[in-house]
Amino acid sequence: METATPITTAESKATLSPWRLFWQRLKRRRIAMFGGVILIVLYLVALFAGFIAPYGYQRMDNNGFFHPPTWPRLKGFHLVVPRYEELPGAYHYRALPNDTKPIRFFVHGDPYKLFGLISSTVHLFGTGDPNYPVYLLGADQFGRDEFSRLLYGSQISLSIGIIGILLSFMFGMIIGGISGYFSGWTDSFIMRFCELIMSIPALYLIISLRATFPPGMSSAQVYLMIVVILSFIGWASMARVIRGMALSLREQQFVLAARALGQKHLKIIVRHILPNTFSYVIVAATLSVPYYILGEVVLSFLGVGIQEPNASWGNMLTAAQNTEYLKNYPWLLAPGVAIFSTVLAFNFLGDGLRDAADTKSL
Amino acid sequence: MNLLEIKNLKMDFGKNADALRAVDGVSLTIGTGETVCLVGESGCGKTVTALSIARLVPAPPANYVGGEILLNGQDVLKMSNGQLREIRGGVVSYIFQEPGASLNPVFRIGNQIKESLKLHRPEKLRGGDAPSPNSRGEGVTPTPLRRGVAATLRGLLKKSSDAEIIRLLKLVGIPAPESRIKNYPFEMSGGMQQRVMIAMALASEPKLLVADEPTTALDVTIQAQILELLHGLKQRLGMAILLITHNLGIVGDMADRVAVMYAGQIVELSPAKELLRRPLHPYTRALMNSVPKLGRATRWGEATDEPAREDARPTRLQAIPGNVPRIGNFPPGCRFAPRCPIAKPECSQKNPDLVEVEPGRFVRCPFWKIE
Repeated sequence: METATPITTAESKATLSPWRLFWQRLKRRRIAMFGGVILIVLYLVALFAGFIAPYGYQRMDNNGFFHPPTWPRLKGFHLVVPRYEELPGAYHYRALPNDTKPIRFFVHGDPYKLFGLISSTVHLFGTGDPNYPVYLLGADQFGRDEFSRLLYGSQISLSIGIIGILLSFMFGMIIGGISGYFSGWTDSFIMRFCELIMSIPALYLIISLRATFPPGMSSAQVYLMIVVILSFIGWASMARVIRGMALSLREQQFVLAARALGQKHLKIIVRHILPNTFSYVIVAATLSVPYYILGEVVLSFLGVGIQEPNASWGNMLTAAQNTEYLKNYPWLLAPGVAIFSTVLAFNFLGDGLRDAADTKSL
Repeated sequence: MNLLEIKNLKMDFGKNADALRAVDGVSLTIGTGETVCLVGESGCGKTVTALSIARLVPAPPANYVGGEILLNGQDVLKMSNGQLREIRGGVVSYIFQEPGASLNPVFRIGNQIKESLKLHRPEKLRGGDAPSPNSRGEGVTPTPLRRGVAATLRGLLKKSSDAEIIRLLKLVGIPAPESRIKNYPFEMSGGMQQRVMIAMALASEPKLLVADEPTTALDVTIQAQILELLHGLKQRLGMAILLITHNLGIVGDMADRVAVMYAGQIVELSPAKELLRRPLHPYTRALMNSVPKLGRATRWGEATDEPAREDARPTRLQAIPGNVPRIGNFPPGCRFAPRCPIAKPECSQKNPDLVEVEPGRFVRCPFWKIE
């Protein structure tokens, strides 16, 4: 008979904060962690897009309209890409397997600014020869590298979700907190206003709001405008939920205790009510990021979002509207796959967070 | 001047036709360093009266129709919001029944005590080197900017502010306060949580501590500890305590004076020892008869073989017949009359006044002499 396993003293939970417990529960959920890792990779790539992308997002290859994906092959000790020869007719290409060039790392190429600050021309990989392009995901109708544009586009598409969430949740929490804490007519007024905003079909509101802005705005302005529009719609639903939680929290004794200490109303809301909604807010935020990403996609897809030549996943997909293109050049759907994976990853993570935040599921 | 003087306080819930009179003409004084107990059944207006001292009952629905609450000679009912925030915590501190619910579950207890300090004694958070008022004016006066920078630096170093929190936790008898400071409320037992609440209440050095059934949610041994703690603190810090309870056992240990409330009114107000020895109002008597006592055999004590002696014959625990009248539906005349064993026909005609029948003893019953 085996000897009994020594009794290990249970790990002391006395010093674990609620956040640590939350993290421990989250770690046990594989799919959530998987989603989280994917998101971390995506955001890191977006952060270093200029460096990782072999080409600039504006660079057009006049000999490479609808260039097919070129995948590096191993030849000897080198990864090589072949040269492509354009065939007569509608953008058909043929690889020349014997005319290759090795891929080099840290090559000089199109200039870019890392984090919008550091000017550089060094790219992670490339051939350094425009006749031997590396189009991992092919090229679009203007001969621009789909992969590079996907990376540049992720900067916009991924950040719009985070910034939008930050804005709308900040407003939603403060307004919802005020509404629920004070209740009474303040509450009625704010809630009726929320319902007013929510009752307007979001897409029409977006488009009509967009119409109030002048055309020909710079990309930065459009970007800001999209964030503001999406947040303007998004805060109302958040405010409603927070208001409901605040309504129940305000009856808690610790709120009375804070009042008995002489604390101000606003500080009670910010210090005592809102922190108690965080476990919900984090989950809700994670699950709502996809709506902001999709919102940008919709706007750009409709042509009122990020304008060419700037890349976003939405306006890249515009090219895939054409079924003829889609049939012949399926790589134009790459941004769709990117959107799909990102949204899925956010949902995986959000579901896991929700389970981890629910203490009953221990 | 008394620390607290409640004069003929009348408070309704709701307005006009819907008004329900929750507190009806309560007068009560508390002197500096005095302990007063407020006793009564659930719903008789004890808590509402106590919360009114710092005007903590949300208005609406609360509606003060009459009377005044003089705290240090100032009428609380006439104070502005800013003044109220000053006295809340500053002059009156509260501890409540459920210590677990009174602490914010998402903050470490050290931070919660710090909040109280920040509001009322911010100088304690700046550490020991804060300039005392009389040392100002000599040497170099620090400019506001320089003081701000210094405060920020000290804030970064942080340690100094913990000293006062640790002192407070020690004061309320929490062992190893240095490590407890980082605990979350859910990591503590009910007794410890209540001690933290008391530390929070004491952090602002109040003149009056209102303890609203501070031990009801705790088990008996912890009850005794907490009460002992309150008693000791009161003597060391010289603050007054208003203790709300429905446990007459506590009264004897703690109180200097007792006010018994029934249906929104004080029915008897008396020094604690005399009240316990010889209750005058029929309600107080009934209340005391309904407390089971050791040594007085009850039906449950029949298991002994010895023949029961005449005076130890099992007696049924005396409950007060009937129910507490619903607020807004008080009987005419004396509110206790329908349940009173000595009620006379005239009792339901006119509600008697609170009369001083002996020095320091007030009773709202003209027939208090009848046994």
